[in-house]
Amino acid sequence: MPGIDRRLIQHFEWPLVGLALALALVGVVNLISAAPGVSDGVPPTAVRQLSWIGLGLVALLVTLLPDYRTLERVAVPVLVVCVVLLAAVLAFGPVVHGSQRWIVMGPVRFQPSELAKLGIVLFLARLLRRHMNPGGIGLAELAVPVLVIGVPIGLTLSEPDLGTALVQGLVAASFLVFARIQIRALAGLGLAGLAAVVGAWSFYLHDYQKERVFTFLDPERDPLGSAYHAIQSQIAIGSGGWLGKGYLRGPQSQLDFLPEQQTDFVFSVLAEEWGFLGGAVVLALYLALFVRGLMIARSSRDLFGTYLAVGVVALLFWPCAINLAMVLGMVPVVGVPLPLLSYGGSSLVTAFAGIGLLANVSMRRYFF
Amino acid sequence: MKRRRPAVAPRRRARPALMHARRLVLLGVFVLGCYGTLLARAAYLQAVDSEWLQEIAERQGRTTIHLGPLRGDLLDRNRDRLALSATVESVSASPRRIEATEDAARKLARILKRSAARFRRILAGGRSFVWVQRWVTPEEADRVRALGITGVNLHPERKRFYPSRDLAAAYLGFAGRDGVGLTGLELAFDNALRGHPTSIPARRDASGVRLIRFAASPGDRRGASIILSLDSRLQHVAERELDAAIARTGASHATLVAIDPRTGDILALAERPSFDPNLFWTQSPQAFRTRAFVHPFEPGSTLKPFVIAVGLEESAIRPGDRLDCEHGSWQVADHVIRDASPYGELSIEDVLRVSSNICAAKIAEKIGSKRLVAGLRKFGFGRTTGSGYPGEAAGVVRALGKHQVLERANLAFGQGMTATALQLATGGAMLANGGRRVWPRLALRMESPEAGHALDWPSGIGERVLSEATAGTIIEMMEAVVENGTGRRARIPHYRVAGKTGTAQKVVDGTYSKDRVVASFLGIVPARDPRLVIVVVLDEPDPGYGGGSAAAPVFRKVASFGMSHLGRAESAE
Repeated sequence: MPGIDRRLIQHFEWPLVGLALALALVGVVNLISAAPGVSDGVPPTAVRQLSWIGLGLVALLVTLLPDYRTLERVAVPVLVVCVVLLAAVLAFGPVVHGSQRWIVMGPVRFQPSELAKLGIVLFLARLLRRHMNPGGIGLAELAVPVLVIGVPIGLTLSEPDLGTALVQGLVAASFLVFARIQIRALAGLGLAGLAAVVGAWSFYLHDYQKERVFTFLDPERDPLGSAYHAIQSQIAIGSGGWLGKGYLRGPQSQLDFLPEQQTDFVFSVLAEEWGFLGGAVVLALYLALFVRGLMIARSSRDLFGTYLAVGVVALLFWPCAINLAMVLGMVPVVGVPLPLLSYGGSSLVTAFAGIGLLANVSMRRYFF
Repeated sequence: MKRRRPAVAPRRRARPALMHARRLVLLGVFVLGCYGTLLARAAYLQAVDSEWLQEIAERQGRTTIHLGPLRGDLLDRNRDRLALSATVESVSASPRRIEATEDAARKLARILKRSAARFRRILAGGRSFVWVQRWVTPEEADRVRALGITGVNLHPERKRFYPSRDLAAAYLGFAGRDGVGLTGLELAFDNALRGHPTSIPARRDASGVRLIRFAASPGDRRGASIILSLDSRLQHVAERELDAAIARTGASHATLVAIDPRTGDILALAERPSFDPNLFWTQSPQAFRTRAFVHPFEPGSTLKPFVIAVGLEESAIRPGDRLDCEHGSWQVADHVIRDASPYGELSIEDVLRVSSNICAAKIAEKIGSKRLVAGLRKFGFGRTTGSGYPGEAAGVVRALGKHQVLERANLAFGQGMTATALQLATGGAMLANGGRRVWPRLALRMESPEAGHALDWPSGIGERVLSEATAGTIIEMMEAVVENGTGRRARIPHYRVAGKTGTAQKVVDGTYSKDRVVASFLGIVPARDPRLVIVVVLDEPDPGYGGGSAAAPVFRKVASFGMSHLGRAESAE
């Protein structure tokens, strides 16, 4: 391609993109096993996931090619677009399993709440770079970002998509903490957050969501109902042992006892069939990805790049940590897919777009 | 991500990120910490808890398929199968687990030969269990299995088949879906037929059972087979002729019993209208009654041969006696008994031939109440035949007091008492075989599935109940009935036939009705060496029809087929 700076090719961020690709391909291999039922050949979900990886690489190029510093200028419009799309979901989105999460245009459907994660990262990176205050961020300065970020998070919560809203909130919170927040401001925010949780519990949370919290606290409460997911997941992981049952041989996943085994519970399938060893390798890949991301943040030449990189790492880290903790039975079941491994186009493309931003920051450090 | 007071001065603008360096390291430590925790938890589950979690996984993937017992067959005397059990498979689905519903519906439609729309409807709506189709053929089952559609399963089930559909349906009865005999012979022989339930260990998935391939296993302990005395060919002709009679006479119900007087074998037992036991749950229970066994009725004149037999046996009359038939009208107590046509003096034989009620009443008077009742009971009236058939009725023959002269007169022509068609047939068989008791023999043989275990039922002939001479005399008199009396329509070329007609008025609202009658015929063939005793009963034929006009023709058709058919069957033996 003409117009592409040769330095981009010379300094291509191979380790990061390589790690992301490796994880995504592990995901495809795992999906072949996680497809329900026993059928010959490659299941359609794995094929589709593979094509989404292709689409993800395109997204990666899109977020990588323009200098990230120019992205600072589009941060606000991107967030506006995200909010509009989220509103459109609530207005026109089809109801699937009791919630509206999708925008459907012919054969194309995607979840704007995933895109909104990127929007939030871009917006906060821009805002915090501009309002860098040596004394730390005060309560007054927080008002605007909290209110602005509150809009997409609130919309996501209304779909309802508790898991994604939680991730969005955690990404935003990580930003604020990282960008030095004053104690007073943090305390105030904490109180507000507590109030929000209490308010959400009383007015906003659906019964099924409350039920999940209860069953987390007491899993024997309803072994066939809400706790079923958590119990089956732990049975699957535990029966994997050190070395696993072998690929395509996990009884829990092959006999379809595992719920949502292509999306939220993919790791259980992997851990059952590949054992502790396989799980540890995947965890190590993730860890390497995040550490690499933090190294990129450190090496960035400007503050926007650092914030952007930290934001993207948070965007990948939080769903990863929440999903694994949920699958391992450490936190209540919230619908958060495992980035790069779970079946799903929106999540995958968003992850690759984030990787593209990280690579963008990494590669531009040579451009001075 | 620990809270930190600002420490780094904004002096190092050249590498602005550096002022966050410590924070980034802390972030890295935090991430590492999180992953360490997750890894530790995974190790805990996969090492410490692994064994019992594996045990749980194993246990929930195991299941046992309980199969109802495989019932034994019901066969006719020529070993044609009238009822049989088989393992059939049913197709079920868990629609919410089917990915390509449209595709699945189309494939199922092609194999099961129903419209795709039907299966689309069944598979719609994401339920967790639906029957797609019960009881598919083995070929269909194999092809559905070969599809390997996730969410579509096959279940083995036991099913009872009645290949001849409505043939002898009421008599055979049927077994319910759980393989337990509910009515008729299925109930009578239930203990022998039933067999034992079987369990097969299998693997299950989260939605239910997924079987590899079901085949009858050695643990498949099926019930014994019963070979009935029934002859399905004769049965078929009997049912055909009863249907024709119903069409011709407008009767509401028709019954036929055919017995071999030498063995008591029930060769045919037909009830029309009938029903299809394969779909018994959709049919009217009224049709399930085997009237020949369970429905006693007032037989009317068909009883007269037995009354005369008692008279001869008790020496109350002699064959040569002549009786005054009072020209058609005779007062008994405060009642007038009438004959269909007026007669003067008649011989005993003619009394039977023209079926005079008045003279029959006079014979009853000569016998006396006590001896008459005891004599009729000897023929088996007023008690069950001991067949063991479920719900068999005894009928009513009441003891009569000294002054019940009208009741005695009525009894002489078969009113004021009730009998089943089976009792008339066994009674007729006692006359036919020279005076020996007959118990109906429902089944010839029971064969256990293990080779060599079989049980033969003894023939149903018992002690002498009347002298051979009396029996012979009655048969001769009954021959005259067919030759030149009310039973002329029962005549069969080349055979001597003995018979007696009956046209009994039914009791409606406490009095005898003029136009609602039960038309019956008792026939014996060949008269001199009886092989077949047949009773035909038509309930409420159109006014004007009686035993001679409605029931006797049925006898003729069935008996003439029976004679040629049984002759062939016996010479084949």
